[in-house]
Amino acid sequence: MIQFCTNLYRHRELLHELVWSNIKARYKQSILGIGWAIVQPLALMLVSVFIFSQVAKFPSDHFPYPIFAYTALIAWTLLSTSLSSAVPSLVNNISLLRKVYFPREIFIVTNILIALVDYGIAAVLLVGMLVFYRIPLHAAILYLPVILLIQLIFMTGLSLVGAIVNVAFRDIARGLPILLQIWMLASPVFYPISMIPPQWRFWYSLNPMVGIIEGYRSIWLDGTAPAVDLLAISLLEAVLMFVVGYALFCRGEEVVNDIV
Amino acid sequence: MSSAVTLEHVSKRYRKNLKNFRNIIGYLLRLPSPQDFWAVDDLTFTARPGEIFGIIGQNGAGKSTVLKILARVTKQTRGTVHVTGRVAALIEIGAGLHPDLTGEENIFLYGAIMGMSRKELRQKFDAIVDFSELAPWLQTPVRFYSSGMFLRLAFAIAIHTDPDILLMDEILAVGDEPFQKKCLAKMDAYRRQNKVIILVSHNLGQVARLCNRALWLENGRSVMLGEGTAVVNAYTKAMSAKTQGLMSDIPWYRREVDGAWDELGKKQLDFLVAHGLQPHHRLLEIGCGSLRGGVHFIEFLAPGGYYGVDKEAALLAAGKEVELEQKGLLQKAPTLKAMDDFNVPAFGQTFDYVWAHAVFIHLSLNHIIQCLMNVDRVLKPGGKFYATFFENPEGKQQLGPRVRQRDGSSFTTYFSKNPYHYDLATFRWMCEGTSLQVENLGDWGHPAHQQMLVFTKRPYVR
Repeated sequence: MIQFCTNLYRHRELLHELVWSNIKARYKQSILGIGWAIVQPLALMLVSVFIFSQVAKFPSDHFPYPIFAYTALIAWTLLSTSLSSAVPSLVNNISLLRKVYFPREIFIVTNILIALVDYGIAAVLLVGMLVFYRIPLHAAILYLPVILLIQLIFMTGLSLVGAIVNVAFRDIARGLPILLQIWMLASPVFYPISMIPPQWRFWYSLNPMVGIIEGYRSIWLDGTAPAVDLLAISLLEAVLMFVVGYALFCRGEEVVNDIV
Repeated sequence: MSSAVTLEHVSKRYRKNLKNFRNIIGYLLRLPSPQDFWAVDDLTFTARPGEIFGIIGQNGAGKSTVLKILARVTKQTRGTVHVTGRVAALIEIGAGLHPDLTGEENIFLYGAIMGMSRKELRQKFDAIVDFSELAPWLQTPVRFYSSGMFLRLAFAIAIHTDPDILLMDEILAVGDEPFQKKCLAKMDAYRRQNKVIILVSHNLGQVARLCNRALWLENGRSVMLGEGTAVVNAYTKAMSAKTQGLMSDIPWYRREVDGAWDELGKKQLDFLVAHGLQPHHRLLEIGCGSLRGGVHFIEFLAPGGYYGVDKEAALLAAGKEVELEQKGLLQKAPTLKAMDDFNVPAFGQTFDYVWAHAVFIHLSLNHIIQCLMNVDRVLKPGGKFYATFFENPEGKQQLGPRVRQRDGSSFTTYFSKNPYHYDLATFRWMCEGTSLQVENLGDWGHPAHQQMLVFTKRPYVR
């Protein structure tokens, strides 16, 4: 983990340049521009309001359903955008990989940081909604960096594994959208965790996204500290994922160019 | 800082067919496989500060792999690599440019990829723009650039990274002549700053002119390491000796490994001996090239018994100076003459045997007639002229190309262009009015299935 951080620090200028130019390039020749960062979670929220709240009558822990779903959706979008751009990133940049050396994890982190920028923009709308629904901000919001960090560690670990394995077997990038869809339904994005029968709750909470999403909801909406037990599971899994992922990545990195 | 590059017993193993699951897993676990090959094999050399170090060799010799190892793009399988100083690898440059960003934005992006800080880039910005000559197009997205502009931009950025070690792969093919001159001037400046430049190139003149020292690689192994001009000269000499006759210059011959070609030369002699050639006979070889077959004939025949013609004087010279010299066959006094009109009667000799291997496959009909008429005049009565050709059994009824196999790969022969195919009836027709009679002996063991024709001179003249 220390090596990972020093690598990033040493190449911070490159990282900065890659993130920045990617964002710039993405919004060139696009009418909506930076607004696209909000479109995905917003669209999903509107659909879910209709289906889950109006048609299926899901409970939403006494909060207005739109804000209940949106809190989770921006976190989910952060995960799904990161993974779907980071996992194929090595393969997509193969021409660069073959010619210039810099730590390959830069690609992964670049994509995660870009998704993080989107997340920041989408969060502005969340604050707007809080104001609209007159939900006050609490001191608990100070936990936000902690939860976000856990999510970032987890996503990085997962992306490292996904990206390096995808170099050898492209099935990973192919299968990713399906996995993300199933995973989203298995996370408390559109429904509260209270809907899960108690006897399944333990197995359910092994999903690291459960602790993270519930954490966001408690600090944004309830104004209480996140549930320690749930978040501890997430943290443990995130660190484990990262350690294993980075080890695998480092081994794979040596042979990437021989395989592609 | 003094920069240097040292490789000690460096080897790199690749696997040919890394496609399926089992292969990849095996590769990751470092299991050996029959598909492994050594792209670089036990290579040791040092490039010193203030030196332009050239690497030459044929395609697939391992030159680019060496650069990739130095650039840390791939890791050596064995051995140690010492590199002190910042490395800039100009290997197929331009891969990091973003098509949607402007020239200016790309200078910062590509500069960062090449390892420069933003501050450094701001300082060098003007110099880069100046070098690239792209000032008016800086605000244009690079996808609108011509390929020359694109490469110029990438090159200008890369060369301004101020590396201690510069790796170049055929870079000087970039841009027009003034731009190339600028690049050369920049390289010279680097040399004077005691930096290391490693240059991989097929442009031998350039290597001889620029490089203090050079390394000649073949199949991943070092053949020669030494002063630039000396290595280039030795390499050139070896390559021209390797070149087969000009009349047999279709590419797969050149790719043919030494052993197999030599074997084919031996096969030619074996064939003629089996068909009655004896040491006291006089033999004329048409299209003898650099004597790959010739050396065997000369060795077998008595002194003065061999006559060879080819239209390419350089090949004859190479054959004489390299092949015959090496085998100590010069005292056998072969007669070699360059000609392109088959004027063999000019020798003033008659021959027991005439041999034309892989000649008709490159000749148009009129050239073959010219060849036959001349051979007819120099062949002894009862003498034989053996010539190989590609058969087109349907003759005039089949004017299209024919796809043929050689060692698993395919190539094409044509009715009206090189390499040609012919039918026996055409040769019969050509022999009308001469004292020659033609027969097709069919396959004789040629790897590309060239068949063997025999023209026999009747013991009397009509």
